[in-house]
Amino acid sequence: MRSTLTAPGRRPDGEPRLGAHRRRRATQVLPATRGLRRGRAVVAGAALLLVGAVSVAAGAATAGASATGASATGAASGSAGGVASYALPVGEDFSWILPLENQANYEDWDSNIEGGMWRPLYFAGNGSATGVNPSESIAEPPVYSNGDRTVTVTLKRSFVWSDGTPVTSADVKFYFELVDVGKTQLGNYIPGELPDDVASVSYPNAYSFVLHLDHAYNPVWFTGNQLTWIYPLPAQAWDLTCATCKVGDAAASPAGAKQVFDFLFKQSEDLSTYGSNPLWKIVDGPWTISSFDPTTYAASFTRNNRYSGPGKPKLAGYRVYSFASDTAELDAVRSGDISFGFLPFSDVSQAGYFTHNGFTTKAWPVFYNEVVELGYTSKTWGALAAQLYIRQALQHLIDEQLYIARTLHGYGLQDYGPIADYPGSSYVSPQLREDPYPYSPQAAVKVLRAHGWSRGSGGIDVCSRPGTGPNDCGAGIARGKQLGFSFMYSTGTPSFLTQVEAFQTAARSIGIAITLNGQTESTMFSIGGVCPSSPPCNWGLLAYSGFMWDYGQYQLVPVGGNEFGKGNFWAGGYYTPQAERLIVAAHEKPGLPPLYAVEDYLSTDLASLWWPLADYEIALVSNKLHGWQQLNPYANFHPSAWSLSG
Amino acid sequence: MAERVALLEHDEYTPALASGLPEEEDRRPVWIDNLAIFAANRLALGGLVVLVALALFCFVGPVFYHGDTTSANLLNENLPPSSQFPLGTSPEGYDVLAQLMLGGQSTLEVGFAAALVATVFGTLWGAFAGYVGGFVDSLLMRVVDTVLSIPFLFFVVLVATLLQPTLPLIVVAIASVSWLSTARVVRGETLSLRTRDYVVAARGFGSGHARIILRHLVPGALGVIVVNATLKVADSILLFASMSYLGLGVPPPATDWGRMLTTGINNVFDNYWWQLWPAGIAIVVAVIAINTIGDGVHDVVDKRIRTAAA
Repeated sequence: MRSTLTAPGRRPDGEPRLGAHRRRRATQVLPATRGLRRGRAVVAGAALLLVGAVSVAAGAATAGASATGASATGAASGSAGGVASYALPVGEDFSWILPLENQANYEDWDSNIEGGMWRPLYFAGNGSATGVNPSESIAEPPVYSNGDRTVTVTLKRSFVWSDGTPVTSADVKFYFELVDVGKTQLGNYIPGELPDDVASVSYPNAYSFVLHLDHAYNPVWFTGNQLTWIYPLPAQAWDLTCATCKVGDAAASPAGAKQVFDFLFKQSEDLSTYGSNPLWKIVDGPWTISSFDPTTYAASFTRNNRYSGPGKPKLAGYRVYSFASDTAELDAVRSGDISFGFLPFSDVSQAGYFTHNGFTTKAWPVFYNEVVELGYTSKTWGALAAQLYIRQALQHLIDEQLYIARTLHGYGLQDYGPIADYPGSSYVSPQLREDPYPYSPQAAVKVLRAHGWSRGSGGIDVCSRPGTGPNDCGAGIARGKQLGFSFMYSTGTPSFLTQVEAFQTAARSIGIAITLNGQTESTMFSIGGVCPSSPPCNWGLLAYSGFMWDYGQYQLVPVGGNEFGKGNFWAGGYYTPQAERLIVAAHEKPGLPPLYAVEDYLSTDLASLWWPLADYEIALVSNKLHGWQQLNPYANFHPSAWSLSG
Repeated sequence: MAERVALLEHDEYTPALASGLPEEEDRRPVWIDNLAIFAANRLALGGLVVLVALALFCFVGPVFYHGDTTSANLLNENLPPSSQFPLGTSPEGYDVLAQLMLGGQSTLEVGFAAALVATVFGTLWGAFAGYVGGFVDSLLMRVVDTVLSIPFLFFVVLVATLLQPTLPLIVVAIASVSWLSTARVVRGETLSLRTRDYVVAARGFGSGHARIILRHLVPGALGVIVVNATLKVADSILLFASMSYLGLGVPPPATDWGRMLTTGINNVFDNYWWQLWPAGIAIVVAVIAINTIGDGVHDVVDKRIRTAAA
């Protein structure tokens, strides 16, 4: 029911839910949120080591700039079709195989790799366009009826499991049996949403099923943000409760389904058996896992020769690699171990070197957003964050165009709302294509002076007109209160730090004190979130580098409810009744206008400060690899379309 | 012996005098002797000159050279050296030469302050443990062993997470792991000194424990303490650089050489050499200079010990 929708981002027990979000590197969050005489010779040695490090680094720079003729195209070799290799984002790994993801592995790269083995009902991203990819999907477009209370889905008959069994509605039924009993363990589960919003499911024949919803829903939202969760699962192979048990219909009863669910979850937790477990060999997608190294997280996939769907793979297989640092990844590309890698933004000047050595670079923009959270519930800064005019002043200090041009070298999207200005997407409100609060320190000063702030000693503005009138400082702001925020940001991304410092400088120039507090991202997951319910909470502004919210397989439509809805964890506790009404309306009223309405409102109300979104990466791809140029807006790399030459 | 007793009676004991240097040498102030020994070590003398020059560069330089180190200006990002920016600019558009001065201030301040705190605390801890001995000594040294077992990086990450890093906090963080070796060295020295005649005599004349430790044992170990302290300065500079390299230093726009080095290494493949070399060289030069000074101090202490033994 919708009442449960009022608490997205929270588990039923009140604990903040990471699962309701798509934040990057959530795997590092678990501990706190879910639930981070030596002798002279030695000293001199350290100094000399430093000299050595500097020398090596400088030497490497020289080598990187001047070396020619190094082969960077030797990535692919193998049997028929060749084997390509793909570099995951730094620090990320593929470590969950079951297409029912737990909360620690609920990220785009997990679902993207899983989707290569088990096709979702509706595949996220159509080339470089947002939305569903009809041809890659395992079902025909859904048909809504009964005032959008009934959804009829017909499966394509062309899909078969790798053991030869057709993919049927029984496999969807098996999915619902498992999800009904294990939903709270799933990363994408939000109380009130799938499967809660489905009153019942009927299966009129082997290739169709009918969802009877608890009330009418917006087909745009329901298809993009609910039906995309459904994966037909191989009931004929997975409906068992132990490795030595016979496959049966244990999932037919809730108790049995829970046993099956727990067994499959347990199997997915056993990384060492990914390459050998027979469960994972039964797939309906184009790829089958063939090996997995639980130490390095390197995974190999081979072509499913019985794949019957569209877009049959041309490669014999592909590999996925994880890296701890940009440097390691780039070295792997340079040495020819990676055929599809990325060029770190800070190394963009090396693009020329790579393009002269057999590589192509291409920006990979994604359908994400990047924001600076405001500490609405902070005891220290909450009163300031609550004032729209202060948020407006802060937003006027963010020079998105300059940040993109100078720090991201053009590899980024402007972001003026819950979704960035992704080119061509119908999910982006026309209003979000324009900056509602363009960069203007003068405008920021004007709005502050109009609300009773004046320059205090030390150059920091102080409230000189306390009160709650339209021209006063606002509730909870006493006379003499200084205007300033602590800004917690994630360290490790030089371009992001540069942006943050530019913002700090702009703020200081008009009398706003921004105190920077750099923390590792994993630490931020622990101490970020809603204040003060998740102590220690000591931030007024908070931002993660790269992106804040990654829309993907489970959220194609950027309604923003999970991020900005009531009870949210990832917007500092932002809440307005109007936003809540609009979010609910976007879920329930048909078409795109309700979506635009909530986007527009959140944008102008500055639920968070909008910040430029860096491209997912600068793809750095061997010229021997083909078919990769259409880059998926949900960061879904697509090896089925790849081929190798030479 | 009579001379030492006389000194004790007048409470004017110094290790130098106690060392029994020839009478004619005692007529010259001890510090002149020490200076002469130090100066004989040309490397040490050179190190001192370099260190003074670095200090002047960092603390007096800004009086003559004014560059922006606090206002990010992306329009000036990564500019190579020019007449306007002699050492170029950083990714934030800061003047690297001005940053080098400002960063040197915090680096040297942390280095010397952390070494001072660590030396004072470690000396008192070690002297007390060595003087008292027995169970207390064991207990205190086990504390040292325990703290030594805590990984430094884990410790500073924890501190940086719980508390907003500031220079005083960083000084305390570094000192809190640096005092341990000083404590061990001083304790070892004290174990030897506490059985010396002048200490026994002081005890016999009714001196209190604190007085014996502060007026007799610590001065007796001063030579090794000073040598150790110089090493601590270099150690602290490197630790501070490591912390900043990991992003655990003072928050921007404040800077230090370690943070500058991080920036340089981040952009090493972009050939922005001016962001890498100046800070890297400054750290290396400072550390080597301080080490050579430590060598010189060690020569002084060593010479006096050998003279005393003779």
